[in-house]
Amino acid sequence: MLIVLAALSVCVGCISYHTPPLDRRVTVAPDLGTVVWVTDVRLTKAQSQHYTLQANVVNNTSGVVRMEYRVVWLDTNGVEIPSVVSTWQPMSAAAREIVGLTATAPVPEAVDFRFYVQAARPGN
Amino acid sequence: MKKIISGFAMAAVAAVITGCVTPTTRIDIHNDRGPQVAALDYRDLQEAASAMLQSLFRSGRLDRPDGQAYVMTVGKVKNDTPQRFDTDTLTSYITEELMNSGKVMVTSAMAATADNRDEMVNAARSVRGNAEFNQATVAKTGQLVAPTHSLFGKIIQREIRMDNGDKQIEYYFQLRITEIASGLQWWQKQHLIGKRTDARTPTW
Repeated sequence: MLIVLAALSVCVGCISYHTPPLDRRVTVAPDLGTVVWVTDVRLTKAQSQHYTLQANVVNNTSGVVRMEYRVVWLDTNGVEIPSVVSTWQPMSAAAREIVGLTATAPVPEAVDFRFYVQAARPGN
Repeated sequence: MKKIISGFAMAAVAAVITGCVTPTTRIDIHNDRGPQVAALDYRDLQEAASAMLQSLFRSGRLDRPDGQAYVMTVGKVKNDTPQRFDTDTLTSYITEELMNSGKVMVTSAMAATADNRDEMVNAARSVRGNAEFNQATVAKTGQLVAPTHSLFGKIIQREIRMDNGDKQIEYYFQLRITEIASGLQWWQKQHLIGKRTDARTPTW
């Protein structure tokens, strides 16, 4: 019995689940399911006083995926900074493609963000 | 009897006509699920403005070493499309965000178009020496701030007939900023939005 249990636990330990990386700042809408993942989310200031976000959107399918994304910028108090740069923007990813996205904050006071991705709306 | 029948007929016609009318609804500008249009609409302007602004913010050009704000004037932004719309629908997104960034002030004393100039700047000065006005409250000479930079550009529409007879429309949004003292171009960005539609669809 113990041998069976030990064998089972070894087997379970061998199973690898293909799960998306978790980042509380990133929300992938349910309509995309696991079609895309968002990975390698980074913030940098580079040559500007404004933060620039870079993220990779990974298309896990063998077809073109049309999507929209938006980045909402937050100040030091976590309050949203309203801006036209936070409107939904169209994007697409070819089969198995990793698309690098960048978004730049509208004010130097923006220190955090929320990144949303959803399937392209009809007509968009 | 005839009157009753014709009354019913008219009511039926009215019902059919009423049934064909699309009721007026508000656009949900945050989650617009309306179909695309061949002409430029607010979604295109927002997309172009967003791309322009992010390019400018990312460039670091606005980060003045002394922390002071630049003074910008709005030059000519040409609408080089057959569509009739005011290019301020694009530039006001830009100037609003630039001012919100704290790095740019926009002058209303000088601009390429009258719409972007505030006539009151000069009108308020025309009362110098007028006894009806407390002269201590009238703007003094030498107080207007000259612009350091100018924003200008154009929106171009290019139509291409496709092999299948459909129409491809390319919209080029071009904005540039000139440093006025040197005359050198300081920043520029072109953003392209392309659409395909039936050849008979008008854009104007």
